[in-house]
Amino acid sequence: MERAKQGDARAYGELVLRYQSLAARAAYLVTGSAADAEEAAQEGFVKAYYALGRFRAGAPFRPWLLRIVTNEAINRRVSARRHVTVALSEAEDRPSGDTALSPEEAALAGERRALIRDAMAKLRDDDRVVIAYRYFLDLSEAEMADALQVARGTVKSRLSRAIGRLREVMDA
Amino acid sequence: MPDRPRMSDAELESALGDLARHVAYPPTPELAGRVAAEVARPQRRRRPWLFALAPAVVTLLVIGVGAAATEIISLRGIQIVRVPASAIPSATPSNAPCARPNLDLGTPIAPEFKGRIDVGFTVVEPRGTLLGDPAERYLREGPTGKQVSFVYAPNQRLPEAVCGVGAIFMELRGQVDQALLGKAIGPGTTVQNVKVGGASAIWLEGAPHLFFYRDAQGNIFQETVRLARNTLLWERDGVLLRLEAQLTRDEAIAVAESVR
Repeated sequence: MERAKQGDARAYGELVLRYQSLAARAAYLVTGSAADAEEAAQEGFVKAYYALGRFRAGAPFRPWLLRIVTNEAINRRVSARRHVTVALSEAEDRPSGDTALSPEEAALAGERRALIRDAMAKLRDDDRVVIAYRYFLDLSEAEMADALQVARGTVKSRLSRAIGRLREVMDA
Repeated sequence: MPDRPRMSDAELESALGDLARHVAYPPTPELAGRVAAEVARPQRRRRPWLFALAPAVVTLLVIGVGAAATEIISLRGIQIVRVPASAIPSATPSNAPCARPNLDLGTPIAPEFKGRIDVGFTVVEPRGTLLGDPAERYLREGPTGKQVSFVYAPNQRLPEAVCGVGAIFMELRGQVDQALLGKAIGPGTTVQNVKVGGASAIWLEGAPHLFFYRDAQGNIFQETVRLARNTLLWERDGVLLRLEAQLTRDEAIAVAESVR
């Protein structure tokens, strides 16, 4: 990080390699489009590069990058006026041990996933982002605070509010 | 209201985790190469965060690595703003045997171009003996108008800065009201206010640096400095002049004061 901050393009390239998967996933969760996610992630890395001078020494890079990429992704989603519907895999469910779900259980689990996904698509961007950070990208509370630029105590309330709105949509 | 049983908080959290595991993410794109290409592109970058800086003047941005505080050095119509670290090209001029880098100065033009090509301002040249006669002349269409460059070969008093090149003298019309002209320098580079013929000028001594231009619409473009050597900047009749060479400050000022 420090070498990248000093203008070492190779060091920054290593950061891109390390975080490109995370950035692309975050952008995909926001845009629901592979093409837009790719562009948003790329543009986010470029913007982050040019903003390295403002990056606080010793701060974690991951949430800072995610904030930039997420904002870029939101801008693209808004421009495209697209609902965010992420694709779901058809991977077999094995929630515990090696025991596969029964066909009925698998069908119910699949239905539940689609229900939540569709409900998330109807959320506001800021609610969807806070849920994505926590449950999809596994950010810690501290990382979420950095990424959202809020106090750590605010993260819980933001998440709780987003979950509440998700429930409202699901129950509607 | 749907007839599904309402999930508990724990169930909903678990369901979100399950959903997260089932998202079919697109394949991870290979971004490192594309990002590297993007940041290496000259004149590419807009810097919206700079837009708040003195919009009514031509502004020089000096980006010094590790600098924590912002420092502004004023010049007539120009400001140098020192800001924290940014992208600094690391190209180092090599000694012989060498291959001359692409200086990206534009199209070669004939020595007799003056009066034949309208560049939008009166082209001037250093007249002293230190640089001698220019070996090459170039015309380039920059983001804010035409740019004229003179390339001088090394001589006994003018050290080689890059392969076969001792100095570059460039001139361009800055869009003083709306354009932002920036220059980035690396660690170890010093910035000094000096005088050229009694007028304010800026002397940059040290490491490679970048230029940033702002166009009439407020867009900012980045461009690498060609020689990455000591640079003197001054204004003359609304034209921004730039001398890049491995000269001392006093030598560069003497060259600048010979410009006619």
